[in-house]
Amino acid sequence: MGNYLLKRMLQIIPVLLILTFIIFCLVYVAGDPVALMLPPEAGETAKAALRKALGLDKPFAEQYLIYLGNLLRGNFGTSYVYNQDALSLVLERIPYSIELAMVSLCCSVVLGIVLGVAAAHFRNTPLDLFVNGLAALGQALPGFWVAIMLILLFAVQIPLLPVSGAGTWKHLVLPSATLTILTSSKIIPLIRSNMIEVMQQDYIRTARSKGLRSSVVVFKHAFKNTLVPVITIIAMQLPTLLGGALITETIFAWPGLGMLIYRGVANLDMTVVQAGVMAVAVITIMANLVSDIAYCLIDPTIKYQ
Amino acid sequence: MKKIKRFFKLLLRSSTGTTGMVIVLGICLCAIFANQLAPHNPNEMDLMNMTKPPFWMNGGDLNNVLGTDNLGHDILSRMLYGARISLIVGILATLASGIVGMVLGLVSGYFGGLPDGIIMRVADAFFAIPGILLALVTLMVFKSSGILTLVLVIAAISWVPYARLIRSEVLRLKEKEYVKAAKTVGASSWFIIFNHILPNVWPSFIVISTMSVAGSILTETALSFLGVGIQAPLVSWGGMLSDGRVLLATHWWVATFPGIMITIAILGITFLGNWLRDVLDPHNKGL
Amino acid sequence: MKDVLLRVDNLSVQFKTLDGVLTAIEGNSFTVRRGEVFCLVGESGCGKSLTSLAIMGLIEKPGIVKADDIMLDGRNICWLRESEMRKIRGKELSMIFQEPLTSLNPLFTIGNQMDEVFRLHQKAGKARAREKSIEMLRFVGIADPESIYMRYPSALSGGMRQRVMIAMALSCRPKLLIADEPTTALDVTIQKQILKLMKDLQRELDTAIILITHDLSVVAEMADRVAVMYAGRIIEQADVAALFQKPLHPYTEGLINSTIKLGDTRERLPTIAGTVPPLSAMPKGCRFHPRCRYATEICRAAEPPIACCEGGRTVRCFRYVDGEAREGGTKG
Repeated sequence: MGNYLLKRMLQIIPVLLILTFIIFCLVYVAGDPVALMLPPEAGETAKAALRKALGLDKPFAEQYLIYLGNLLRGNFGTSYVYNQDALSLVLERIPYSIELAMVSLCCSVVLGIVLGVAAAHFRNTPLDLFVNGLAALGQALPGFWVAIMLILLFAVQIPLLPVSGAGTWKHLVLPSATLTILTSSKIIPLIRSNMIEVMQQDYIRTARSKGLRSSVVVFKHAFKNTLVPVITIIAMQLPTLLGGALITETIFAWPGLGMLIYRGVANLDMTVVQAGVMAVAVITIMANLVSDIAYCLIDPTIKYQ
Repeated sequence: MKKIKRFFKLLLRSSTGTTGMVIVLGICLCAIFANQLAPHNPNEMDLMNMTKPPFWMNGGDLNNVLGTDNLGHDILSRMLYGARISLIVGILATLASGIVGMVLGLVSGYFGGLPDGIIMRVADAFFAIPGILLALVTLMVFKSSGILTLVLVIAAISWVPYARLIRSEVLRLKEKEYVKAAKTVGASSWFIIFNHILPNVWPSFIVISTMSVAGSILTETALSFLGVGIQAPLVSWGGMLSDGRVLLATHWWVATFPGIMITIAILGITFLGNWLRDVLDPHNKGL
Repeated sequence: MKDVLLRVDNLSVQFKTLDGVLTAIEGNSFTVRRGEVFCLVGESGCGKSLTSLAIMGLIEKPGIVKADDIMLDGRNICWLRESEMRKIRGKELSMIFQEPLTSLNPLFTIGNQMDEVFRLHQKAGKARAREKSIEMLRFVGIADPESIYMRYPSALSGGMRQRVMIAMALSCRPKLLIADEPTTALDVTIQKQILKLMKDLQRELDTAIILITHDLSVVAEMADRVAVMYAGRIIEQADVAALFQKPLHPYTEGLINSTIKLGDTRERLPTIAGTVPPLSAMPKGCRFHPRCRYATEICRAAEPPIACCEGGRTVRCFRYVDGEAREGGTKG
């Protein structure tokens, strides 16, 4: 197992490199930031001087290497909007995004397991159809529309919760509810179909023939086998929850990474944008690695490919 | 003729499949015949009738069945034209990402080794950035947002699942006896790919494509909502939602109806996709 | 004459399907005596496994089990509540299955799965259960039981896994063990080992075994008494020697004739013409008549009753009404 994990960790390096390359290309194509950084009256000579100072007149490859060097030193540049180091901005916002992501993920997983297992157990009954219908509906709803509708219902029509912002637990409810609805709709059918498949396995029949109680058969024997792909499923949701929650964060003015990036895009603040994108990508890759480790721990028979 | 009859018989057996097909056909019809079906020009501003409610409410009438927005545009007409845009973007993006993903997946799976390693690591890198984020940043960087750019951007974020799936299918099929047999008779790689592997990969491909159209439409609406997708004067459901957001407290219908439309469209496509999967994919357990 | 351990009377299993109610097995009655090996033989799909699952009470919806009686050691287990049935499973009545590869949970150690039986039925604590499990593993001939105890099923070979299954099934010294094609998925050499193991254990523990198989050589080696099944019906029952010496039912005759015996000088092996009809298209009358070379009018019209012949044998065939063999038939 150690070998496998080592191999996985080594695989990350080229991925990260390619990532930096992709992001750098985007930055490069974004073009000349100088115009934004100087006051509008600045003449061409001032702009040319700034460009030279920032190293923007050097060839592509050289710029990339400088960029890479900066990254390794943690220097993502300075946001011209906030007048602050981009990396520190990102680090400020990460906890908020993680908070939202974790709460939503936990709720989704709990909901997913409860409804997924129930639907599998009562397969082909009205309950099953109902759960399936809900899941299908949840996957079809556009996230931003759910957010808007929730605001309409619970903040405007019935002024129960705040419309936006952060600070109290009340502020967390609507954004995480939105994300939970979206995420659990994806998780439920997966857990359900997995559970059904597991319950048809021979070892379940063996467990029954030993005289074990239904609950033991389901929650000991079936459950652990269902968990294995569930871990992957959860890890797959993480990128969406962190970066894709961009829209949710923006609508609810939740001060997380997503909103930071969106503002960055709107303001053409490249330093912030690339720092943010990098952060999200790195977190995703880490999350995948963690899920691989968890996978190994649960399933001792994993084939190391 | 017989095949078509059989297709419909199979379809009618599944209630979700039929529903999906009906919805999808309905939306296609709306898109194609928007000109004829729409009661008004979607960009026609009727300043006398701004923010009129739907016809069943006070102040509404049958002239604007679903009401108007803050510039007097008829909501129903805009929804019909929006279908056109969403379908075009969805289908084109799916085609593009499908072709790219298929080719990369085939190469990666069949040839293995270094090409496989490179393609897969690139895929991992792409996949590590959430789609909407990447699309947003790319659109910002390229500073343009015509339909073509949008299609390309959505395709760029959607190819990874295709490539991965086709690759795994190819890996599975590569080990099958008939492929090995073909090799021993001296068939070239491309011959094998086209005649043995491709036909078996089609079912999964079609299923993913259907789901991908749904995903692309959702992404397009999200991007339009954020303001970087479809721009005026083209009409998009996402754009309508963005317009309606500020009017939520007072004129709820502007945002609600496009949202319902999007949901129904996606549901329809998903149902159809699920049915196709049950029918086409012999390996799927059809639970 | 040993006394009767299991009595099954008129067992039937039906399935509710979209095409209506299909009867998989019907009218099956047999007894198993204490400490004997009772073989249930037949082709795939004839209902042997269903019979055993029905006895264990493991048939679920949409299957419907009906029987006049199923008595285990004088106790009626047919109408028992599930909670009562659970107390018997694994303890007085246990079962091993065909596929050792998939019959063990891949995510739990052998030890964990073996302990379960002791902890459940004998209320043993962790340490005691471990002791007993290791003892049991040794009992079935596993060389290094302590180390196997810690392993996962994927680390064991097919033969080893089946030994583990047998160990698990015999842990609580059950009165009756049902073995559903236990050696079919194993190599021939391993097959012999496992069968010998089962025979030895059976003698030592005085456990009765219902051995389900499609392999006549297994029957010849292991059985005391045999029941032959076809298309959901038991069509013949006899002591093993009598069955092989003089098969009564045409199907049994066909089966035995199509196997190779030592000293066989035939050039071509005979086969039984035709195939087993599907459940939804069973022929009227005797289910075997389309393939039977002795078939007559009455065979096509009605199902033959069970006839009792000499030596306590029974057979479902119109040729043996009143315990007398009657010749007849349009062919041969």
